[in-house]
Amino acid sequence: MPALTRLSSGLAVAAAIATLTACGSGGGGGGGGSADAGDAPSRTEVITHNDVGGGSDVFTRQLIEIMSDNDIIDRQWPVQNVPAGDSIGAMSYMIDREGDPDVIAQMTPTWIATPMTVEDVDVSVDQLTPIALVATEPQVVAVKAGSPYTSLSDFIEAAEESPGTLVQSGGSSTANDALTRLVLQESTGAEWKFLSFEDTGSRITALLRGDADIMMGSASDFSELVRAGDLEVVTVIGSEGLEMFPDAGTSEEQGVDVADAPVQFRAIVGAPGMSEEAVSYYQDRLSQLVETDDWQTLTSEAGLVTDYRPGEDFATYLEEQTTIIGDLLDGLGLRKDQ
Amino acid sequence: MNSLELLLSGFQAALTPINLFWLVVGCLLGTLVGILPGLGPPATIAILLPLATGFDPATGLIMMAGIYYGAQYGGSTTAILLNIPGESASVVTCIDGYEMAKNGRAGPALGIAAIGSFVAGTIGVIGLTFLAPVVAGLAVNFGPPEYSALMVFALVLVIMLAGDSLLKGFIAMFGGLFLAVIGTDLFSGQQRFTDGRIELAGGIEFIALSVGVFAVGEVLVNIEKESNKQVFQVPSGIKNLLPSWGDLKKSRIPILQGSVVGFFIGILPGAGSTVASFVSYILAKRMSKTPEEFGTGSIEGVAAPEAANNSETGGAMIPLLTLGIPGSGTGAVLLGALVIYGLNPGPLLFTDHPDVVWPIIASMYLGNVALLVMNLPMVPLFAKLLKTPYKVMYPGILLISVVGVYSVNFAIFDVWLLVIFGLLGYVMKKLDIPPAPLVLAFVLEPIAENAIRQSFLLSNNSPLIYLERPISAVLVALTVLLLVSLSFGRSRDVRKQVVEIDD
Repeated sequence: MPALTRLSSGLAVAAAIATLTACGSGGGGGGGGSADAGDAPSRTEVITHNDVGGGSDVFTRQLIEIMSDNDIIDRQWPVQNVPAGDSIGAMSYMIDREGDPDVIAQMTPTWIATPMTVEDVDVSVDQLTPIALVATEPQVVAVKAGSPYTSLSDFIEAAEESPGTLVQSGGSSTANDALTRLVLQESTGAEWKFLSFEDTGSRITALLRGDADIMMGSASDFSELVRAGDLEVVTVIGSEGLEMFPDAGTSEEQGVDVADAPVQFRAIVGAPGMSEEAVSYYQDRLSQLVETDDWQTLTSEAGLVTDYRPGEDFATYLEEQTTIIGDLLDGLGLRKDQ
Repeated sequence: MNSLELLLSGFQAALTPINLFWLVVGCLLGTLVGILPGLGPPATIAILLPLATGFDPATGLIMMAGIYYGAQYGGSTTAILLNIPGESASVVTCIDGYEMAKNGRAGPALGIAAIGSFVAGTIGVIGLTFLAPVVAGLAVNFGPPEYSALMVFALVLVIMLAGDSLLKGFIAMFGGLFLAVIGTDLFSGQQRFTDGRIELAGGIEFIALSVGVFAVGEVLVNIEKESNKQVFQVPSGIKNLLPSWGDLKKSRIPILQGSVVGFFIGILPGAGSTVASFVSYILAKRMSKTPEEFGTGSIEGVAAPEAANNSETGGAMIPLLTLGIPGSGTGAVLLGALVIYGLNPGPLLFTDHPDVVWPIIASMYLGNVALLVMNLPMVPLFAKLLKTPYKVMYPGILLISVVGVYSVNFAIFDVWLLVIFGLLGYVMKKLDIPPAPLVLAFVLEPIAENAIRQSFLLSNNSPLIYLERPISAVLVALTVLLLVSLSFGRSRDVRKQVVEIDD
């Protein structure tokens, strides 16, 4: 039967590829964790769950550059992008390098939310070593220039009058802006639509085109378009304003309760079981970082608020945020890890 | 100052030895990563970012832009020679490019790709120079209903890539649509067909699918044939290794047409070079005097998509530079680089930093010349590679495929996918089902699905939204026309095929 021999020769090549694959994985594994556990960091690499150019990736690179420019570190730490599974891949990568003093990551709340929404995932943030919280990134509310809504409370009132007609553009259903909408709908009883887009650019053009009425995001998403007069930022979520948007009131001033909304934060975590020596090595550098002028410039330009909390304080903060996010996802029926 | 004066000042700034040096480095690196599948321009730029942030912003960005459009040049090489589509924009080039290589016309195919890329790349930059502010609005005015309509139109065109059998085109397209559905649903956060595998949460890796069904499938088919028979014919003599005057004359219109199509589609974020490449391919086929040659090694079938995916770069820079909105993965990296340089990409970039923007634009003219000079002499060398006995060549093709796929995410899982899709490609080849509609539908599905769901959310489930907005209404009308011409124009052929399969 010639057909069968043909098929088997095809399968043989497939098997050859498979063998190649197996060799590859053996070689790759050997190259990874060469540093002895417990050693002081010597060749640090910083993991981010973003592709190059994503928000977390850019922030990580800026942070490293500031530390290098200010001689806090003697060489630029390489950035390793592990975008697979929207933080799950990055966490697996770190868990595979247990005890490695050279593996740290810049984490965001996505690292808490994503593993909760996927079935049979055996990674979570609490396996990693908390190093320090460095900053929070208050969400701001933007509208198109000339919009009838001059505050978040305006928008909510309008949404109460005509439920289910106004539109917020944003990210995926588990992203912070979507969860904040849930909290607001719950506390005010107003209802509006949520238009998901994969990338920030499309969310903004939806606003510019008039398909969406509001958008929540980080200050840096909007700052240039606000300067050009295309968008206006009307509200800063939380209790403290941003100097970047002097005209925007806070949600607290506008009488909108967002205490239960998750906070967008930026923190540094280490591989599981990282030695105390390594943890304090990084904390020492990060505490110097947040004191530099370059950091002040970066935070004020990017709309970040410095909130340096090392070690235990950060661990407690993580627990609080985990509870908030977990409850919200539970309410949505998206929690799959229990 | 008008655009021309600003451009001339940009040339002055770009024409320093140091800028020229890094421009050539960028173009060379771009060509290399374009040739090899896997490590794409975003990853390459990422590796060089720490180095580049030490440069003057204009110098760094000139190099990074060079990597971007240089990769578009290089992408055709492996597509034509080895049937390996390194990125989605090269899928269409494989169709006629690889057939030409098998017919002993690899040289003319590679040559026309280089020349077409040069002409189109330059036309794209001319568009960027003079039309940027005028056409930037197009990027904003394209919302969910417009994208839905464009994608449905594109999916109908994809079926036409099937050649003669619409039914097989349909089968391949639906296969691609299904594979694209695997992963996490953007709207609900639910997992679809992932079987709880984290590796699939982000969806199937494009390179594993495209390289699997094209390159690995082709290798499997070839090695079961008589091993002594040459797969490729390679003529001797340098004259046959470059396009003839006749080839150039024939390709003139497809190149110009592809340049215009590529530029305008390039402006739309997300749609990009893939849609541009096959829209221009089908347009070229419709306008050709010899449409029957398409699919069997037509030089117009290489010229049109290669032109389109190179002029796309100029178009794609428009939303990036005028609005701070990236249209593609590479665009996002360039945006990140602008932020790291402290340049605040946005609508004011042109006014705030003309000293950076104009040298970049000027460098793109120079880069296109550099790429032509670099690529054209390589054509005969590459074409001669095919003289290698296939027994020696196919392990190399498989190695490039495996390394390329592995290098995207450093995931062994993706290599297993490559194996599975290689077998799929083999089976499809045996059943004569074309791979291009499968791969292209896979690329289009997420854009189409998201846009359709976004549209229905906006309109409270009323399909009238597609007719209320002018751009989408025009696209819907075009799609209907296309469907009508497909069903009535060729109804007899279609019926014949269906009957044949029933037997």
